[in-house]
Amino acid sequence: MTLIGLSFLRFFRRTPWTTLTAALGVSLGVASTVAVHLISLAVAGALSTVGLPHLQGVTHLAEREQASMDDYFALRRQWRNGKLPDVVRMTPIVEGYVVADGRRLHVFGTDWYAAPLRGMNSGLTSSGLTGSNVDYQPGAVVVDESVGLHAGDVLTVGANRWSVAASVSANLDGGVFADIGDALQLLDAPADRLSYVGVQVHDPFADLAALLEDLLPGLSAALPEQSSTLADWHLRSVAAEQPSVQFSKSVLFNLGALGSLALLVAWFLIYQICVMWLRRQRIVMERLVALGVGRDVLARYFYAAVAALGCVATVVGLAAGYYLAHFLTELSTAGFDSVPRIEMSVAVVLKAAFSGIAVALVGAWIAFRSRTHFFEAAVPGRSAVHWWLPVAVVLFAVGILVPQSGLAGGFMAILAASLVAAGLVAPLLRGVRQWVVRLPGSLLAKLAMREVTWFESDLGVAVGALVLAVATSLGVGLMIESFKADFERMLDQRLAHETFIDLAGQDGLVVAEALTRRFPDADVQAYGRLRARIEGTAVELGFTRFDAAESARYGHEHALAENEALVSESLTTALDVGVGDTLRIAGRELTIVHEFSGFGDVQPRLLVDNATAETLYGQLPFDRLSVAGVPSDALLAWFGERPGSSPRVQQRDAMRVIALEIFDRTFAITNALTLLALLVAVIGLYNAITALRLNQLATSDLLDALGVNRSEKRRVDLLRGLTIGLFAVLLALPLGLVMGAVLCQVINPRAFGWSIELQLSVPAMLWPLGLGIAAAVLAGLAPTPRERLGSG
Amino acid sequence: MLGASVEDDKFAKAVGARSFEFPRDHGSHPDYRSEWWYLTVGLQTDRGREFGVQFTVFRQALFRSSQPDDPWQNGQVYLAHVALTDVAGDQHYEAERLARGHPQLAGVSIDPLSVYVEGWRLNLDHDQWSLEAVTDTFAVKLHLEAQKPVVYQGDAGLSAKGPGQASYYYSLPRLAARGDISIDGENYSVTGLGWLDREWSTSVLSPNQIGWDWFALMLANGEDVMAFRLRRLDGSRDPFDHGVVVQADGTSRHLAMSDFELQPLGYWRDERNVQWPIRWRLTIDNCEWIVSAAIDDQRMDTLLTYWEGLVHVTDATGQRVGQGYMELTGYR
Amino acid sequence: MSAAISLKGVSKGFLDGERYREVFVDFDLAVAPGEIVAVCGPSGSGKSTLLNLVAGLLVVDGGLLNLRHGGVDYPLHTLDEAARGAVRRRLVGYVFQFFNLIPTLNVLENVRFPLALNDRDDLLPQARERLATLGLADRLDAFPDQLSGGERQRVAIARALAHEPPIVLADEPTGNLDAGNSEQVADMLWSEVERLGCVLLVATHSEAIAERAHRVVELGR
Repeated sequence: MTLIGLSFLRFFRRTPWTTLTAALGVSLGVASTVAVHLISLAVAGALSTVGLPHLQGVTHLAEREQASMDDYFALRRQWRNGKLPDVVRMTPIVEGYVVADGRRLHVFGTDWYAAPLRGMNSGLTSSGLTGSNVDYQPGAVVVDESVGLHAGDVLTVGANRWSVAASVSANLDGGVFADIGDALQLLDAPADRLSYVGVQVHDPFADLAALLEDLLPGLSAALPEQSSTLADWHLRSVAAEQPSVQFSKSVLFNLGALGSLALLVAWFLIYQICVMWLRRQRIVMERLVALGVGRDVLARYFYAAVAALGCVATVVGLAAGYYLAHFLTELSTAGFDSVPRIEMSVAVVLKAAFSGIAVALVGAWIAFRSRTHFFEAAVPGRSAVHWWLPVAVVLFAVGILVPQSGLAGGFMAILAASLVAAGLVAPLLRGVRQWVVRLPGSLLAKLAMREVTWFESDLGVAVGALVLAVATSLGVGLMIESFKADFERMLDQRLAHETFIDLAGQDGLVVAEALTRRFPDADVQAYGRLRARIEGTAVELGFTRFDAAESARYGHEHALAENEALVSESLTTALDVGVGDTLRIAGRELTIVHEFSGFGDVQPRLLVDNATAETLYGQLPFDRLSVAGVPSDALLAWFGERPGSSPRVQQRDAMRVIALEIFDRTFAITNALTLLALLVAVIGLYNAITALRLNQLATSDLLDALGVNRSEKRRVDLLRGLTIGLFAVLLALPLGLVMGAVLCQVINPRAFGWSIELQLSVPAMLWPLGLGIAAAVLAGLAPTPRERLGSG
Repeated sequence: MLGASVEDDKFAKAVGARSFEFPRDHGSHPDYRSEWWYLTVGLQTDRGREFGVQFTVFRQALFRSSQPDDPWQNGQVYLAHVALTDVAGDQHYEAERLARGHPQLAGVSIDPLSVYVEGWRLNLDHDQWSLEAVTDTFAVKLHLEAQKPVVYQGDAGLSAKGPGQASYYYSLPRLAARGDISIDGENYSVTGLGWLDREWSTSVLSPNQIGWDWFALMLANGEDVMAFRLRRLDGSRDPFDHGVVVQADGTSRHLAMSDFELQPLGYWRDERNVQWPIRWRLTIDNCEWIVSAAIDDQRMDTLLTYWEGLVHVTDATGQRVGQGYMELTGYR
Repeated sequence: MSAAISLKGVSKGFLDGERYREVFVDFDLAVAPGEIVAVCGPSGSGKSTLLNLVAGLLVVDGGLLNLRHGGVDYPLHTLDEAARGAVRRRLVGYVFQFFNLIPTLNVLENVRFPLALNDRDDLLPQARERLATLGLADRLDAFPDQLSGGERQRVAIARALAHEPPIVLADEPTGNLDAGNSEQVADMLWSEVERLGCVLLVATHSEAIAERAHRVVELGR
């Protein structure tokens, strides 16, 4: 029996070109998956260091209207009495603002002793405070690095002084983290004040989720958020407190899905090549079956041989993916200060092995089952489809129409649509045969054009893979172009002023006043923002003088009256509100008068006029200015003369260029991945056309005998490729449009909170369609390898 | 946690004799940095099934608060341990709670006295002690009554541990205990004898002391014995070792280092390869007892790792003559 | 129309596994215009090789191979592949035992193929007549997979003769047919060849076919 296995391996050796292209195609698929995974791990690694230190170990926030500290203790007693079995630990949290040295600080207080030892507050204990337990000293606080203080410094608030125990990178502007007693003092709040409760809820699937997140970075962002209750408190996942992390995870998931495209196409390729191999080995295998060798024995050796190929592809793909990851990272981050570090890990190796070997085996398995019915007549006329067609349609519908299916549901819809399209290729080719026969043209042209529909079994899978690659390129391209169009429009609106200044901690009103004194003709406007909570959702509340011109930047015609608000799309989605609804914030009600597109915003946003903000929060912090009528170099010179930290001054045009450059860089990886998938599809199509040629050797010999010369044969190859390409792009076009629409209207809102209006950009459509045709022509023109087996 | 702190100079030290007042001194002494209420009880059902219960509340002052009335700023943290030994089941259960000092979390209230850490309570009401602790797997509810007067350890309650290091230390041995325990929902009515140790100080072990071995034994003849051995790095006896023998009539005799010998006879090796001496020979004057752990694994796998468990006392002939509790610390 | 096929001192060999096998050594053959020659011999004797040499699909290793038509000589042994292909296109019609037809073209398109290659659509009416003579008038739109074996061979004959080549080569043209069809196909081939006055070189191991020829050339003995 070893001879059988050996014969399979030798057969691969005797068909070196086919074997090589198979290995190459699968390697590219593995490389794509590995590269994306490595990049994702690097980004996820950077994300894991970004965290709100007072929420480390917290899985949920429990909130109740007007809850007090007594309510917290009552909840805690319920837990200690065993009435909340899923709760592992909890801590009270207070949150508020204070002004220190003209700067607004965002204070968070937790009970640093509520859950030490294992998990919670580790963000604080690891930040530099001593002891395995929190060796807490009164009056010690931890600050975000944006506050500009370091360990050993003193934070003065009013008449009180607080020693800084450590400075952390919490990505929270003005963040101050203190033990709850100190926080209440900082906020000058009574001892029974409570903002909400941090809870650690036992998740029996936590380890599984962590493993899945390792294997599929960003998966947690793909799953819909579950909201629930704890006793009579509303419970919300803590992930919503760090929208930038969620945002990044959504990006990672999107990338992961795209990275899998090349692997999916590679699966088509390996299936098709296995079919080719089985066809060429059919007589041999029939003889062996006639001699008494079991079909299952043949299967095992065939699978083993293909798995060996998969192993080679895995090793090559792993190495290639590693270098591809470096290349793509440099491509997208050139010139940036910090670049994610690409490091190999066990999870990546496992994923590569699964991608390469499992995909090869699945392709081989399906091919063997469907193509090795020895000595049996083929069942005439019955198509293999179609039990999965309604299933795919249902999956598509659920993914689109059920928002609760989340990001994963959106991608499931795209996958379902893709599989339907790929699966319909062969039946469609058969179906259009009668129409293709009627096409006019020379006999050589007819010969070439008709081959696609005559030999759909040879070409169907490869054409399906090409359709998939082209459609994805088309859909993603449309999404990017639509995104860019909206983005540019948004930039035009938002960057209505000449110069923007980020004041880096200085008091905006003071600077604005000084600026106006120095440059009397300048038009200066101050901007500020706060973090607020509405129904448990953290939102960014922005405020400025909202006259009609300012409102127009967000697409609203009128100045904002008191208690009117502009809200971003992600806020309306998060809170399920719309224009005309009211929001309750800080004890007051605001009316939503307009919804604006908030792309680029990681957090839901609410915009109000200064008057409204003052009634909500009293003294307001302004941290940015816009200036018109003053040259930027004069501004820079003036700032240089002033004491204090140097602000960031940006010109509108420069900002626009930078923003668009970042935009392009962001999608550099995306474009590279779709090209990779296209390359795999080309390899698959080349193999299919080669198989077709080899199967049609007799026709080729006949053409030789008839005196068809080389250039005429090349013309046939060209026409054959062109026909395949045209057919593929005709199918890819509607699929690509569907993908683009789903990406814009379903995926993007679920991932990032805002939708994109799909715009049918002709260049965005022509480019992938042209690539698809070119790919098919290239595959058609590529020479056939000289792999002809002897008879028997 | 129980080590030295830069703020030690802000706390009172046990340096000389003091007069004890009860029930006031059963309560907290916040002028001192560390304090504990340490209850150990040997129990049995009417069918003779044996259990042991340990309940300890450690108070540690992290800083000398300038705002002791602020519920969040009193500077105290409380660590509570509760453990149950099921001899027949060869099982040891333990649980731990840590909370900052706060009226609604942990603390000591007086009148009536209650030492509590989030629902675990040791109360004293008109000479009746009561213990209530519920965990995920077991629960303890006991009433205890003193049968002997307070026993002052060391020199009239001043227990020296090293040069310049001492604590105030008294015991309530032979508390008559009755109540109920439950394990995974199965209830047992029990009776037995308990021992309450009270100690407070601002002291630490000296650098050459690595731990101690402590014994509280209640013998069938009505005598009670407390003895502890401070273990030194070089293995020699520490001159600050001491103990006490309490007669049936309540009179007590202080034991100096030379008055007793403790010799380990047998060990239990845990899965971390630490050897715990769970079988000892205790010699006081010419009397010799063998003290053996009721079950081997009574290790407290908590924030502090130590061995604390129910022990049986047998005489030289091997006859059981008593029970008690043993505590082993500093083993690695 | 007149043609001649002349082979002088021709040698041709092949690598058979690791062995080099000489199929022709110093082989001579002359075929006069209008002559029908049967080439017979056991399997492996070189029948198909001879036809492929004459068609210019293979090149002689040594010797001379010349085709002559309309007073013009076409020394195949001196021509490159493209030139041989051009000669073959114009002067040769080939009928095979199997796979004669292009599967994606219908009957009429298959027959028209050599006319399109030679820009001789003027011969289409004759080709249609020939198809009718061969009993295929109502099968012009059928594709090869819709024809019987005998019908396919008849279409092959029609295609081989469509551009009225001076030389017709037939390699076991009835080898795949039953006796009844064989006779019918042979009759049709012979009558068309004689009508056009072509040279017919037919490789066969059928005695019935060989008996019809003007001359039999035995190979391999």
